[in-house]
Amino acid sequence: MGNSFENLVYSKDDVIRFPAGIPGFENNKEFIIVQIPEYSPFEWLVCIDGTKLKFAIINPMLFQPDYSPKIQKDQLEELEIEKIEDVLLYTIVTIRENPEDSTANLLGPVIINKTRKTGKQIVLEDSKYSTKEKMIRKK
Amino acid sequence: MLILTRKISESIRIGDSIIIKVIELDNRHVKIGIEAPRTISVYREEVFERIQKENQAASDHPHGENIRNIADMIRKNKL
Repeated sequence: MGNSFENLVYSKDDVIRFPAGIPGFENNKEFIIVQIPEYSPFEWLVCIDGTKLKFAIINPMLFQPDYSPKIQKDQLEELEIEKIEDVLLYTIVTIRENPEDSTANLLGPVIINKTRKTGKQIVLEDSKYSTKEKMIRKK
Repeated sequence: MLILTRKISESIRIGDSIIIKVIELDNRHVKIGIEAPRTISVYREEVFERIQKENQAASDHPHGENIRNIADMIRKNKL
């Protein structure tokens, strides 16, 4: 992935705060979303604390249009979402050795309030989705 | 580990803001109610561990270059 992630230019307004971090990375709280055309429709959730932590993310509707996570209201309270237009929905992607085996974590979607610039990885309750859902379906 | 015995509908308080209540008991299951401030996330332990592990795997990128191929496939799938 070369040097695409070095010397990223961003402004204070681009920073999204994850107050609880991300499970496994509880101390990493500030991220930006980076779009690089050659990786589209994937985007990148890049931590800006200098640790080089980054996740490939994707809007799950792009590969699973019927994705319907049941998110409980109090799971969203701390994001202070007032209207649905504030919400960005992403899933974190694990890139595998065989590209077709790459998976998205549909059990733990990432919800971002783009107005308040806050984000959280939600863990769905009693969900039919897993952490390793294939994105490519054989036809 | 602190171990306490509770009856149905009795609670345990942790600090001044978390209450854990035994709601229901049957053969092998316990139903537990949890009241906690919204800044405290509550998870089933094994689910939380699965998410943590997947995040770890997702952040490693040993095959990061493959993302171009997957991006291609998803773009084609859509067309």
